[in-house]
Amino acid sequence: MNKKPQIALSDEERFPTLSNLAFLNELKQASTAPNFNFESGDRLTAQHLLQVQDYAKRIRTQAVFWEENTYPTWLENYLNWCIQEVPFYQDRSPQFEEQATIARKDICQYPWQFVANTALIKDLLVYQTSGTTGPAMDVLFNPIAQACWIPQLESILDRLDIHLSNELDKVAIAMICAQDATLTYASLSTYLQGSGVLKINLNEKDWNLANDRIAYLEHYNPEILTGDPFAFLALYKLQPRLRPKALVSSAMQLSDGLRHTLEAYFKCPVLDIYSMTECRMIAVAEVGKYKAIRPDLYLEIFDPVRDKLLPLGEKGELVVTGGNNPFLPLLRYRTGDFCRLQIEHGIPYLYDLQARKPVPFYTKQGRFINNIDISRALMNLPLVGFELHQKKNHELHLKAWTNEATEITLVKQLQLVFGTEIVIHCTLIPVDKEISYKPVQYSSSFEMRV
Amino acid sequence: MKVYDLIDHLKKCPPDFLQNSVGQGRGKLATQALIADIFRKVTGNYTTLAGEIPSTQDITKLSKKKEHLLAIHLACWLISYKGFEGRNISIRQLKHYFYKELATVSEYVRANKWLEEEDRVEEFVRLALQSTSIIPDGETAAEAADRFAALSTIKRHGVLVKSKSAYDRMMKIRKQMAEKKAREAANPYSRE
Repeated sequence: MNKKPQIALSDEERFPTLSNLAFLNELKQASTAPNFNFESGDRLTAQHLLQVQDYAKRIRTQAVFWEENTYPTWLENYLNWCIQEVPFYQDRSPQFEEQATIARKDICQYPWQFVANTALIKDLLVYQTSGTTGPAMDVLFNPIAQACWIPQLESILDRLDIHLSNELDKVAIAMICAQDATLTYASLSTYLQGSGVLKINLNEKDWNLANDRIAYLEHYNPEILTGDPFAFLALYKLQPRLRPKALVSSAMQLSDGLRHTLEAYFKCPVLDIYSMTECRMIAVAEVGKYKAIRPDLYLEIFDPVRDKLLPLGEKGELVVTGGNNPFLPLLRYRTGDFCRLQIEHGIPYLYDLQARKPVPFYTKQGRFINNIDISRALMNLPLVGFELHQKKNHELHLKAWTNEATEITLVKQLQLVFGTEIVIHCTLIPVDKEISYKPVQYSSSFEMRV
Repeated sequence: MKVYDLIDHLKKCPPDFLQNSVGQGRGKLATQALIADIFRKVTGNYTTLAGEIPSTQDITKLSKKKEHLLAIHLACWLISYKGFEGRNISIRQLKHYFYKELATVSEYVRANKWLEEEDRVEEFVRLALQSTSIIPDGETAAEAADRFAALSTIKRHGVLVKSKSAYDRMMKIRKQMAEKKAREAANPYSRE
């Protein structure tokens, strides 16, 4: 099965309730526009939109999530619903305390087992993760769960008194990428009343002229810029004259140094969001901690090895329950990230969060490589997992768990990213029948250069 | 009564009971007379059952559902076992067993299987015991119920229907996952 994203819809299907697509065409046809290689819409019907608006009301007004040593009020109903409607959970105990944890491998193997019986299959959408933390995985969701990212962001912006304009001829959100290849498109947001949404790659190959990157962004001056720390660093180096209302960094932890640099240059708050594809946003960084932003996501800390709940304040693996995706309802899902949890005035805070750190890689010539490009290159090979380390002399050391992939194939794929001059040492480890999953780990002797 | 004695008795059912015949003509099994005899014998009431015995028209109607009719014949043979006498079995229980319970299972099991397949023989015996509220010797009520549930065609059918619908749903999801339209996905707004 070809699992790659494919262009398959008409604009009417992408934007079922938007009648004016003039701004979309302008974004695509501007003389400085990049060579967009994909199409995307939010696919929100009028009914979907009502549900997103309803979600927005709830998430933007709830001041207390749950108190220490209590469960959120929705948890019992949610658990009963999971047992009744979600095949994966159907034989579970109705006691929340007795729930076993689940992990990424459970979803990888049987994603359809997590689809609630009440979920409308015609709404099913698939996103394949690029595998920056583990093997590529199909995550199922619907247009509502996807669009709810915006109210989640609004709930953070509200506290900073920042508001999106919701105007037809403005770009509300631009996702900035800096990588060898990625899907790019111009789109609109139905929830934001037709405002523009962009996904662009700063790689020169995507543009007619290198200067168009700045000209295009400056012309549309997006209200919110999103991206990973590498992308923001690449954007900063271009020194565009942009006045965004906020920068939203995610996918990897943002260093304080880069955050200060970006805040000083763009003169706006830079939000470091902790999120994951399986449930979208979880928390936003504050000084020395991360503040949970989702009242619909119950957080716990578990022993990393045994199924044992740890007391508040103890460090362990973050486990999440809840969310708003009927195609992937989570019940004690292990995030693979580690932290301590404290409840302060009814809001959970994550301390000492060890999530994904930005790991820089370089070609022999010193060109920066985003590890997303490495994941993309290796994701289609039959690997159970891999570890890649780069030494100061640029040599790559790859350890891969596989029974099928050969050293030649692996080296070839990495050379597509790093060029043929790079020296690659491969260690192939046969996979025991028991092992179906190994995390992906990147490490580098280089440090991120701001 | 022991279940195995009843199984043994059922297996000895004469082949005539599997004849699809109605009425009392020569060489035909007299369904109406069989039912009447069993009702009278089991309830011990030989005088006041006139209104409870099925009429010729009832039997003609019943004969249109061959497997059910034959299952009633087999039930008559089974219940003729001496252990059912004097058990205080009501006419209501018998009618429910003959016309409802046997009608339901006959939708899924051909009559000859009640004599040929080991599990079905035991299921037929246990259905009769359950319908007449008799707990077999050497078992508790819970054990008898468990054993019957394990053999029950109706329960098994329910599980199959449930797993078939789960299978159909899984195939629909997998089909939709492969659709290009699902793979165009919808706007992501940030890196995860």
